[in-house]
Amino acid sequence: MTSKKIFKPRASTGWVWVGAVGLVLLGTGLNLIVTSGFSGPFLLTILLTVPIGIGFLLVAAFFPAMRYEIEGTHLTLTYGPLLRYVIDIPKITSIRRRDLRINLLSSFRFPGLALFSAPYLEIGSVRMCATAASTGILLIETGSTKYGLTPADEEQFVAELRERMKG
Amino acid sequence: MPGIYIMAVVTIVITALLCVTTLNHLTQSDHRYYWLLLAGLPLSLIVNRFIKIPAITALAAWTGLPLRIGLDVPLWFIIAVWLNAPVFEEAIKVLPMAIPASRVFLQDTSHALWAGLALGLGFGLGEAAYLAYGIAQSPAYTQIPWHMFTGFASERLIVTFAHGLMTSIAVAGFHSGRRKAFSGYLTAVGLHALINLGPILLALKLVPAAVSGPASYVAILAAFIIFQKQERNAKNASGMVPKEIIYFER
Repeated sequence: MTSKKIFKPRASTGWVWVGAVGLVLLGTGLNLIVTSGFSGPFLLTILLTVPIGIGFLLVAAFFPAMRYEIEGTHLTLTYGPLLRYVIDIPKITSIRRRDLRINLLSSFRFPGLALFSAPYLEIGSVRMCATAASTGILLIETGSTKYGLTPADEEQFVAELRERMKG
Repeated sequence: MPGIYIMAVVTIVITALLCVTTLNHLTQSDHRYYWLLLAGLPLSLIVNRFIKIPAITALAAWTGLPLRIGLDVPLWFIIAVWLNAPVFEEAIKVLPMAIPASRVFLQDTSHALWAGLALGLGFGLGEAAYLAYGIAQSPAYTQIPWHMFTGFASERLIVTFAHGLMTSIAVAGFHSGRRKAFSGYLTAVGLHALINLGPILLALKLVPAAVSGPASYVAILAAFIIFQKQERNAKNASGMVPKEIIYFER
């Protein structure tokens, strides 16, 4: 049971949201550079909007790179080079599928995409690497941490995890 | 061609894409809501051309007041200008729900919420086109290149969703009977008035631009919170919250 298995996430259009927000921010920043340059009163706005816009566009670009890898006794959740969570499979205490209730506190969460640590009502902070923000999330708990995933082939994914738990 | 038209096309395409994505996400791709989105498109033109502008112009002419706001204008007229858009726009946005074919969306709160959202989003998209047309008529803006209108783009994107949220609150009230229908409409009008308060105070030179913009966004956030609460209550009431599936536990 050391072979590597790769699972893709459910399809979603989450990249559209992130890409659109990135375009708006970058467009605003570039527009301010063209109109007022770096010496105008909008320097702070430019310094915020341009890097954040580029960051959002990068996140949208890496959307196809989201995957869940099971190798040996480790499950690795990756989103290109931007995110990597490693879960020790024997330490998993529960696997459940449920809808999560969104907390309005800020986090990287859009319809169809949720990344990084996100606060949810009732269950607290969840490390997300999922193509859904709240619906049909596969919640994996270890002793101290919760992870949110959305594998396309959920049954096969869970069966593979349970097999590795035994092994 | 005035640059605003190019930016308007870019804005409307991106915003429409996000609107459809949102509706698909909420309604699990129920394409009936697209018809409501389309129904909302011409409503901004209709309400502005045939109701709002004639009403406020007639009021100004009748009372002999100039058609502008300022600290030298009576308070009641400033209030009339302030409430002109909320009262009439929120009314026309829910009007398509009076058509018998739309009643199917009023059978439960969730569908009513999403129907209102679709109508409001459609209104917002139409409003973006209507405003772009208005801006293009001003000689001061005709020579400005299209990429200088990013402020228009970002504002319209946010306001389109704000229209959706407000109309969803109003239409959700229609599901619960006459009294709730009126309170739903009044809540939408109140939120709309709060969103417009910042720009009105800015026009009166009572607050700087740095305050008026964020104040409007706070009101939009309030509309989002109400929408989210109503959606959660609706799901709970209709038993749409799926049961948890426990695959493994120790």
